Amino acid sequence: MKLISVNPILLISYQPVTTATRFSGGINNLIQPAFLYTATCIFATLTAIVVSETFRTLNIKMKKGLFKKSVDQTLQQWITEMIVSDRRELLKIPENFENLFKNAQARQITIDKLVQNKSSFLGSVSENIISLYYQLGLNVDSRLKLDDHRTHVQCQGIRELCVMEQKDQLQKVYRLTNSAVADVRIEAQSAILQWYGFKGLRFLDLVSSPITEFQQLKLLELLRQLPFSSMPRLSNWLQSKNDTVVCFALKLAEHYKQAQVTWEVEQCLQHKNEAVRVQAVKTLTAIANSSSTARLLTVAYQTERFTNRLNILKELQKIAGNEQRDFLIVQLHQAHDYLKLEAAKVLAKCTEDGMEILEAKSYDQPDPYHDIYLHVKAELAQ
Amino acid sequence: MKILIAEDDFLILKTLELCLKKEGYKLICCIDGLDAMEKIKATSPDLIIVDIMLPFFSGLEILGKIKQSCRVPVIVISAMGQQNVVDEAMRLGADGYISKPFNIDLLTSQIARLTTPAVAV
Repeated sequence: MKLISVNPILLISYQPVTTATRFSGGINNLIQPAFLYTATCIFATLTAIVVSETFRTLNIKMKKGLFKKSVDQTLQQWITEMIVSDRRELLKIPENFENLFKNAQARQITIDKLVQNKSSFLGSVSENIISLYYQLGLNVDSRLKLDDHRTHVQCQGIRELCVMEQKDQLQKVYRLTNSAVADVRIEAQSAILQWYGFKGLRFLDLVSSPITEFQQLKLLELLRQLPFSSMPRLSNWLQSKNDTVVCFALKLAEHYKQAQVTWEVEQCLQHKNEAVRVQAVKTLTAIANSSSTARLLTVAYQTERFTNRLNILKELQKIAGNEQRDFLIVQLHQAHDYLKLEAAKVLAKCTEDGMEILEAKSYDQPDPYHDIYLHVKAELAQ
Repeated sequence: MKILIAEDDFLILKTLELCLKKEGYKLICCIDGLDAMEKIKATSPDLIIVDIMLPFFSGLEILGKIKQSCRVPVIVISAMGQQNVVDEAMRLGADGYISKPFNIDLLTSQIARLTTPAVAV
């Protein structure tokens, strides 16, 4: 074997350019006095900018806070006196307030105070608040907010006009019920309902944007506090092209037991949107004749997916009878354990010999029917 | 006739104060639960109007404590849609309640009902 000899001097003089050497070179550059001086200057300048900006912002906030407090104290007594007064003649603004009311922030503070108080009172106090709002020209401020490009300002404007019962702005607010911005839409729809109650639901005719689950709940809650009046357009809403309108209409039919739209609700069982079908099942069990509805649901069940199958079985607990016995026995053999359990519950609760069937099944095939049997038995015992 | 009002919203408190003063009542105003408890002990009012939502002690806590120690009539002010809270207040012994928004006339009629001595038949 021939050994290759390497000159050790060559080895020492050769220094490959590795990452480590490049890094140490970089550090050497960084700790050069000139660079350090520049870096320190930049850092000190940035720190000074951040600190001064922070103080400036805090100062502005503090000034705004102090101004708000002083306006609050100045106006509080006067506003209170105005809204509890029995006078009906035109308001005379005190001289020292005239300049104050030219300030936008002071006007907004006044609007906030009036809106807040208006929400708590009815009768003469409430009328006086609206009158004061008018006479100070604050309705113009609220109206202008509707045209603002900022969402929160638009929402604020709608809320103010709504609380102050400025129904002359109906056209503008009504248009906003179908705004592209969800928050504005929610505020406008709520305002229309607060002004016109059930009649205000007409906005459902034109809404093409979705009504979120949250908004649906909010609208139902608003309606709950208002006297009920008929909804002649309910059947149209149940056939709307907007699926969320259909869902909401189904909820209205369910809550207010609108049996006259049973046929339309039944049609919703075939809707392409699963959320609509799920709600249709719930509505139908609430409004329709139990035996024919149970039959209809067992038919719909065959073409349904898991979620709505489970939903149908849960709803059947309210309306099923002996007629559904065979259907339920078949469902006991479903692949999914949740469906088996729900079918077992309906069988036990709604049919005469349901528990006996389950007991026999638990002996025949203990896994899983014994557990299901015990579960249902415990639930019935509660 | 001394009436104690406990309401944390200053403007509402002021409005109630002015309205009831016009009816001839003497008013003791409190802006939180703690203040209310102290003033109830110190002034022995003839009637108490208390908002449900108060800092430190809620209206229901105040109501519970008052009804344990004395028989002063209490009117509870609740927000709209708080039926369960109203039920709880009535269970604790409230003599009347009003829900916001309310009419001052309704409040004054409740006050009159509770402060007018019943005529023996």
